[in-house]
Amino acid sequence: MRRALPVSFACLLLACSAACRGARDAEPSSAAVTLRVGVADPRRGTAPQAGVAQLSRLLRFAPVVTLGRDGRPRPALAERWEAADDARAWRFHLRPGLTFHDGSPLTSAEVRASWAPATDPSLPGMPPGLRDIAAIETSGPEQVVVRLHRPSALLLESLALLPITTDEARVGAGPFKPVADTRTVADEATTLEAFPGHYHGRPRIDRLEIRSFPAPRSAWSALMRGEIDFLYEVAPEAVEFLRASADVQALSFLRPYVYVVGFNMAHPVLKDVSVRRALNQAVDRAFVIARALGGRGVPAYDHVWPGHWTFDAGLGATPYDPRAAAAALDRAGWTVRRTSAGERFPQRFRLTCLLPASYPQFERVGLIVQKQFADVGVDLALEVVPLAELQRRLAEGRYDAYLFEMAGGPGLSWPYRFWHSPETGEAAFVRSGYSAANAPLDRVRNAMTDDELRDAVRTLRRVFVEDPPALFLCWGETARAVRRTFRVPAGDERDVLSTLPEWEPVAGVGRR
Amino acid sequence: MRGIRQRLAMLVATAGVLPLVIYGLVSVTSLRAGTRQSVVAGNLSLAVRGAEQVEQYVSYNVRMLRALAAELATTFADRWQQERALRNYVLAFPEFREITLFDQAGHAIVSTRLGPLDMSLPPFDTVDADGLAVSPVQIDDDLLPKASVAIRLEDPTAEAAWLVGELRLEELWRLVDRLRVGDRGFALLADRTGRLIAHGDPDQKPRIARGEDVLGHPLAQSLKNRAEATPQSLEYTNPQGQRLLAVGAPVASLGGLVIVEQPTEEAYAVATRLERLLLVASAIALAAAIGLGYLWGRTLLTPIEALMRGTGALAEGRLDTRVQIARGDEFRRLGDAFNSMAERLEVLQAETRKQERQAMFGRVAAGLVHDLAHPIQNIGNNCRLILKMYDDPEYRETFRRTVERELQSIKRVLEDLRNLARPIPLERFPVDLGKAVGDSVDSMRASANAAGVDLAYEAPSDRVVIEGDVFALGRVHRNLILNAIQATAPGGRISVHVEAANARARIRVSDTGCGIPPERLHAIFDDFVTTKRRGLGLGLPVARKIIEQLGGTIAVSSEPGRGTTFLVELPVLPPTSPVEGAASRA
Repeated sequence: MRRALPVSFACLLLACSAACRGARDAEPSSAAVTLRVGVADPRRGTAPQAGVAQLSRLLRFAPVVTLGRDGRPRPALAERWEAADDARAWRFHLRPGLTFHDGSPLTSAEVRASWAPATDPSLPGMPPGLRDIAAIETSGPEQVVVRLHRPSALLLESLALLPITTDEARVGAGPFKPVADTRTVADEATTLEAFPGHYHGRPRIDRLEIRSFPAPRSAWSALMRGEIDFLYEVAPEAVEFLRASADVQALSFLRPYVYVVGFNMAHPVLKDVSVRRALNQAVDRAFVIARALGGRGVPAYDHVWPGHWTFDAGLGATPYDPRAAAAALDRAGWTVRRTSAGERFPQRFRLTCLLPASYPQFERVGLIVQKQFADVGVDLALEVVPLAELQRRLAEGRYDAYLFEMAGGPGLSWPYRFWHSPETGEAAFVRSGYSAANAPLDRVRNAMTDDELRDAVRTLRRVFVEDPPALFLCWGETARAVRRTFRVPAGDERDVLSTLPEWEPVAGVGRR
Repeated sequence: MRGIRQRLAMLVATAGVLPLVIYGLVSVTSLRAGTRQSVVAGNLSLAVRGAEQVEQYVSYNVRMLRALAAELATTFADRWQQERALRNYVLAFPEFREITLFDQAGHAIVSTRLGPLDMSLPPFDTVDADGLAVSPVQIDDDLLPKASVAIRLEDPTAEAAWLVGELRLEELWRLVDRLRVGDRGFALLADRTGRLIAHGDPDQKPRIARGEDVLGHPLAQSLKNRAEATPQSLEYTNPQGQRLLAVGAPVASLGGLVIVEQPTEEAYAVATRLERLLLVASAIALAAAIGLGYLWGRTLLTPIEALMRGTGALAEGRLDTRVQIARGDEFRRLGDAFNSMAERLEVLQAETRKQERQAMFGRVAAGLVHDLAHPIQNIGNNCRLILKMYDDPEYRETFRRTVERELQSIKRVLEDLRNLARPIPLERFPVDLGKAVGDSVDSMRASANAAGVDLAYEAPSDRVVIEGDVFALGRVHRNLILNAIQATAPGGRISVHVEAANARARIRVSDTGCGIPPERLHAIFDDFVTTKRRGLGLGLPVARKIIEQLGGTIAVSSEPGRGTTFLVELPVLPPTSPVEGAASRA
């Protein structure tokens, strides 16, 4: 689920950068500019979404609209759009002269062809905005009309997840196109080249050579040796040491993923909202960030992305108060009792928390939560399981609690997808039995104005606090490392990957 | 003035410049040595402190683990208790990444690790007497340093035998990063095998990832060669050509080494700057000393020069010279004294001139009276007699001749006076000098005989012809001979010699008379100068004037008591001269 990052999301980032840039004329260069990218993923080649393949897809495809870091839609392949007065119809105006990498024209027909399959209700994990689509029509080669069953504030961010490709060859219209694609189990690499026909102008980087490394150490060493120019992800503990380097710039940003200890409402203890509130009070989120994430993160008290334009930082958060938590548990009837058979220590109750194997950061978070739960008399047993098993058990509802990362932004679709009760026949990522947020989530989904949406989000966040479906811990940071031979546009704390087409070599270097 | 200037310059040099130079050199040398020593000591102190901090860091964590081991051995019996204790430690002490309890066989009993355990009893090099072993520092997959510490539990019969903790050493990196000196001085840490495990220079951190060692570092070699590892320092040039000051201190627990390096250019920058300042200050002081010495010297030399110029001007006769010395010291008094002296000399000169004029006028008057009195007297006497003897025709003739003769004498005297003021009119024609001089000698022979003086003449062997006025020349010859007769006592000798050589004719008139005192010799040719009791003293001045107008020279040499010699030189006419031809026909 964590790794099941939709391709579209990254397309959001790239298209966002395109929306923020002005049109540029292609600059012919005397020598090709190549950016060598290193991806450190121990699971290279084992999951198609991972590693080199994932990054390659992010750079090859483009959506019609994209999402900014604040969750606002930005033009991408479409230069503008407008909604009908009743918000049940949306007209998208494509940029004139669009083409795919193979030169074939990108028209409204191709957009319709790319969107239509994604609106099949039987598809698992369909974004909520797409469920409201009644029909997709073309109006000339450059206009696409989407008709909705009902107004949807989540339509645009859902469409932002859908790359536009050719019908069969899966050729994209992103800023880069493939040159070669070599893949082996042991070593995965691919090469992309700049697409001159990109709607936002030819990228300043001519070629991308992407390769994977068995471990962050080897990737970082390659960066230091000058064998690569860009390290896709850097461990938080290593950022401070990289940051001091004169040759490398470490660029940190908050990831739109929230660390969560999810609860199963079917559990006899966890179905009690007061227990869940007490458990939220029992954990010191600042301590978790400091000890498990090296201080790189911000506390989370709900599932709304803190960078979203509707996010109100003034809304109350659940304070860390283990005494109040213990008292609440006592009032709920869960008092500390003597140890009985099978129990390790005097406790109120016991929970088993699943966490994925091979993710050391979750182990550390789990230990902290376990300790703090134990301080209020709750025995949290940690069970490490393979990721696939975890995903299966979560989907089947066979768990007490789980510790993992959930996608949470930059839009509002993710909270909806995780916490709204599944619709009939809909497959859910996590079967939690939680329904308290259905109403506010529906309000979010159906909001027609900014004020309506803002108010709906405020209500949603209040529900998450008052009837928490999980223990929302924190949003974590990550970093990317780029050699200073490349000038990276100063961003607004967004992921620099989104500005990759704008990167350019510092004068006199970087050309090979 | 050169002598006094040199002496003054030497005085300034020895009294001011030399001590200053010596002081400057000694100061710079001492400063350099002292500051460099201070820099090295400071860096050494930093390295020692860093080594101590590393030591404390490692020992602190070991103590923590020991405490946990003691706690496990004495307190917790159940697995879950042991597990909880371990996990509490891992959470309380972030340096511990994970802690595992092993049995004697090396199997894990409990661990803080949730997933599969990837830690085992590490291969320890040595286990000390306290049951402690520390593994070499390694770099994990996240590029961060780690090490394993194993504590042997006290009860060997218990199931749990070893408590092993994996230490995260990022704090060690941070510690080394904080060991900074200046802007470009960094520290590095190597373990007992020489492997680099931390480097404060972020651009050097890749060396850690590459597993490089510092065995080639001169300080590492130096420490290795010594029996006792003590802090050391040295300077060396790294492979990049940069000169570095390196100081090292051993770390006992790791068996490693903390090295602090700093470019010497930066390390000694303060010292270098101080040296430069000192040199500049010394140079300024030196220049000031020289400048002041020059100025003061000038204040001393200027009045001296003024006095010397004044003295020279006085010596040249410019008695109106005065010196201006506007100072308040002895030089002013000296200047005032000089000016007073000059004024006095002017007054004396004026008085002397007045007296000389008066004496000269007196002499001239006396000479005129003498030279004119006789002829006038004669004329007066004869005028009185003519009145009585007018009827005597013979007496009338005698009267005529006497009056004409006396009038000629008066005329000659007046002519001599007049000739002093203007060129004497001379007739120029070839003259046989030998004959002319002989004639003059003959005309004076009677006077010489009357004076009892022998008058001898040596004529030239060849004919010597000059261009001149025979009458004027005769006057010159007769004047010289007459002077010689008058100056020579009876029995003396006067010799007249004429010769020619190198186109010059020489007439030498020598006597054995009384000679001329040296103090009068230089003025012998001056007007109105005479040693005689009577006369104007115009004979020699007129003679010199005649000779000089004819292009010749006249000189005198004399020795009182032995005699005097007058030497006249005149240019000889060339043998083919038409003037001479006319002279030969004359």
